[in-house]
Amino acid sequence: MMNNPAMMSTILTSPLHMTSSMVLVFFALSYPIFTSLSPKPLKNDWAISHVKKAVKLAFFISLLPLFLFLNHGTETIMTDWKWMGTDTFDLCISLKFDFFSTIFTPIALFVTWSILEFASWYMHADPNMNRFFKYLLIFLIAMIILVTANNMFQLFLGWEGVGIMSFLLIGWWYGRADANTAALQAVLYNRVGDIGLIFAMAWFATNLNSWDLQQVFTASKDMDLTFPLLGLIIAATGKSAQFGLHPWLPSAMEGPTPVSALLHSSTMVVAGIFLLVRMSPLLENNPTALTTCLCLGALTTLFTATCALTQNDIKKIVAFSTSSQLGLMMVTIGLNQPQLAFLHICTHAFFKAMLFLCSGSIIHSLNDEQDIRKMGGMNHLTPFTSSCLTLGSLALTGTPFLAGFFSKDAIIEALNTSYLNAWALVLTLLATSFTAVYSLRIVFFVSMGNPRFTSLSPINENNPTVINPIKRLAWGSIIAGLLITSNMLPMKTPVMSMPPILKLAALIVTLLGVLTAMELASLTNKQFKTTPNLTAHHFSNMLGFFPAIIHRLTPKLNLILGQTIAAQTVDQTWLEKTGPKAIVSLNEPLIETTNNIQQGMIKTYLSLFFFTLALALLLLLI
Amino acid sequence: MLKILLPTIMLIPMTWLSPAKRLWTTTLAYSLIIALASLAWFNTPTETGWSCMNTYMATDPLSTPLLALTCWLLPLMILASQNHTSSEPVGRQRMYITLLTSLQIFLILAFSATEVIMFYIMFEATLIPTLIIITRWGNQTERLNAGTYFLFYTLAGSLPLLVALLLLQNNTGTLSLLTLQYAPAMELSSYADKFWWAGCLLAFLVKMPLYGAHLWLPKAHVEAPIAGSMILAAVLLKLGGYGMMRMMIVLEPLTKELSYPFIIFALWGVIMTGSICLRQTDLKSLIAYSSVSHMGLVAAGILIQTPWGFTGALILMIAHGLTSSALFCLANTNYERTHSRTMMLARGLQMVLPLMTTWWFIASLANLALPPLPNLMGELMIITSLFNWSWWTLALTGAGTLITAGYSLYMFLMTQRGPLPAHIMAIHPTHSREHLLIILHLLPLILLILKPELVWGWSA
Repeated sequence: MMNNPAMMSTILTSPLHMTSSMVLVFFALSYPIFTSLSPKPLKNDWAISHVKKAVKLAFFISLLPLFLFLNHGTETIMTDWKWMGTDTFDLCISLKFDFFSTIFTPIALFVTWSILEFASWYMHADPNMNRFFKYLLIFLIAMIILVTANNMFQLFLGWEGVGIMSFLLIGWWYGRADANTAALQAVLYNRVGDIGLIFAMAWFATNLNSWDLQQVFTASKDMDLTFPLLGLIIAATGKSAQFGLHPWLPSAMEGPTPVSALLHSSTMVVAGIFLLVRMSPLLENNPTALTTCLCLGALTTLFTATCALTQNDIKKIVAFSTSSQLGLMMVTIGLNQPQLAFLHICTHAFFKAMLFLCSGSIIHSLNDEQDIRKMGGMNHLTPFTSSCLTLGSLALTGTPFLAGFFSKDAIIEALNTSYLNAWALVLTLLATSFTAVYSLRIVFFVSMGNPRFTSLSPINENNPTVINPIKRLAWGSIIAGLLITSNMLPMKTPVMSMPPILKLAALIVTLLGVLTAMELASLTNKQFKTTPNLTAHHFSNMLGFFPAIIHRLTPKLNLILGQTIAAQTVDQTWLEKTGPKAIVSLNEPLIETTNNIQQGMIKTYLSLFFFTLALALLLLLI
Repeated sequence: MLKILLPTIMLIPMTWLSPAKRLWTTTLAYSLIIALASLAWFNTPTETGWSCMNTYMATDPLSTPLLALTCWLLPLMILASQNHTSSEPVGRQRMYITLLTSLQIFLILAFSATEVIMFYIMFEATLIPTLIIITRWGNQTERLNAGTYFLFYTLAGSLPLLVALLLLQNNTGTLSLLTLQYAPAMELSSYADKFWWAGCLLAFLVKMPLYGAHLWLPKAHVEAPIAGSMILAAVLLKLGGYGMMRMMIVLEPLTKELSYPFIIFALWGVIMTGSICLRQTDLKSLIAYSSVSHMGLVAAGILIQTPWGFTGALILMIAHGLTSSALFCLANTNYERTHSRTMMLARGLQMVLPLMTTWWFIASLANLALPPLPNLMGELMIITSLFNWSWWTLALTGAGTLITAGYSLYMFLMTQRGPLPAHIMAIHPTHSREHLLIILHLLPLILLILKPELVWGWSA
């Protein structure tokens, strides 16, 4: 086969096709940004005619490298243009098109395309829709920069890029105090994570003298990487909202729904996990870091799943489910299965984006009502949207042969067959069953039962810009898992044989979850106790009291440091007192003494003068 | 050198002779031409490092960026001052421009001096026009106090430097920057030598300013008119950093241990002044304190004395110069409209001045060091070189970046976002002059992304 010259030439030129088409993707995406800099006002349909089209085009272009990769396994690294460099430390623009970036880029573009189309309907009344689309596009570009980065600096560029664009997008309705707070929260929590990334970068620069990924991987073979890896884990904790730095993610629901969809599916929050996937060659030999990931992920997935159980805001539930899935991805990283984590990122992107679009459509239909207690019966009113909502929830819970199944089931199997922490395993399984509970809760409250909203709601889903994106994502949620798994060569040998109970563990806990939830739902109609015991409910509903404590205490302490200690005590009191004021107070007694003598008392002066003179003369004469 | 210096000097007669109607346009155009011409300094690849030499002046990779920044800032100051001096008689306007020009002359001489003593004299000479700008053109009575603080802090710091320099001259026989690094290392062992070491650096640390000696800075910044704040933040503080980098060569053996307390102090200052920023209600004071915080990082980067530290410090000096000057200009656009520096009184300005919000946003991002702006490159290099010295510094620098992000965005949210207060009615729309002013600040910053080596100093 190799003797075939045509085949040979394809293999030789395919890296070229790959790099050029990936660069074309960048061009296609940035073209609307640059043309929008022209002082002429943009046309009203610029968002659709330029931005959406650019993303769509970029998606189709990015299929070429994907197919090249699937067919030939082409992976390539493109390095050009030395950006900056000192004598020994160079930084080049370098792009990496490997398994992860070639698969992720088309998915991100596909999902964003759908979200943009949906946004053109959702935001149609917004006077700044063009700007909104531009922000979304820059957000996407930053994410693709992050994914294709081949050195730490470029990665950091994309990393901060998504961070700051999320600030703008979450704070889109800037007249609202809540939106501004949420935007600030997102940036600050991410900054805490950034400290970890900066730490890792400083460590790499100091010890390996390079930020280039290959060089980092090669040069660090025999080194103890625990500290930089912990730095990277902190970075991922911030960006992917792991336990401790998670509260910004549900708060980010203050942004418009398309933003939430994009933020949660294919950009921003998966960046942290993606960072660890990228760095997995460093992670795989470090048990400390792996265990940290495992336990952190398990804690996150259970905690946020618990929080999701009692939320009433439809977007908050979906947001917490993202957080929980991110915890699951973190667990997978901890299992040393980066590829599975990546697979879950990919499948999750489809159904999570779809869930958000469905909830956006429903929220819009119900006059911006987000409380699931005030919904119900949507199954009859918006049949398409609510069936897709159900489909997404099913995919999320890992129903066999939907997208989520292929990644989630594989993860749980890998978890079951590994020699790792039983505590983490139990937590993860519990979280998996909780997934079923809150998913059922959404479906139960939104699409089942009778309508509980005001009768005059502008319910209409018959708009191609609503139906089509959701439909596309629905297809993705159905087949994406199968497509990716069947085209992916596992890097680690999966354990194929195991006892049935382990094999079916994921399904069993999910089913148990569903059964419990249905039992609970039926119990709501029968009040057994006069006063229900609400502690557990409060814990879940108040998000574990985490924001109530951390969001008050930490800023308060900081602001007290700023005001009382730094400004008042040090600057305005002690530094003044020991500096400028001290000079005054030291010199004042001297000045006063000299001053006091000279008060125009001529008699005293003359008599003093006379006596001194007389005394001096007397002494001289004698 | 004279190609820039003489035109700058000739700017003064031109200010007085040009007709009143064209005063601002001609001086602006002229100073812009000087600024553009000064960019030619970047294009001098020489092996020795020194170029454009004459008997007393020369440029090298360390001074070139600062010189170009100095020249770049004069047209911007002229642009910024046009509105608030418009109510003054034309003679005073001419006087004002003359002061600004004289400041540029002194600064060019200071940055390009090849003799340390000449640098010292010019360093001191910049005090005079700055003092006049603050105390004569400031807006409130506190300006007199601010002027006193400014003058006495700087003088008290820099007089020991004179003595120290004379001692150095006595020992080595030369004060030429060209040869100083080849002079034999001095025997420095006694306590007196340590005082000498402190004397050499104190002036610059006060000028930077180091945390603890920074009280003059917020006062001076707040009370100065816009041009004064701009030049203070953008260039005058950098005299300190520049002087320190020059003196470090001579101080070599002693610095290694003596600098530790200063590094810690500088980094501690980053946190403390950052926390103060979080509580500021006064916009200009916030920007001033943020300058102290950033310059603390610069001071630490210089004191650590590694190539990365120096490079990072120089990048951050240039980047911070442009950023903080831009922020002061933005604060001034608010001030000229609302006549108040209090942030609470001018909120939600995105509604009324939408394009200004863009500038605010970019400037805030530059202030919090967003990649790939040069601010980040500088901070990252300083953080890395400090990290190389001690891991614990990351606790301080890391917290510093977090707090910086906090107050930069607080400033942005406070001024631009939120609902528009009811009392903000009938304010001027933005002028093209103001947009141009900010663009001329931010454009160099953005262009530096593409070729950061220009401001990398010796290690480029």
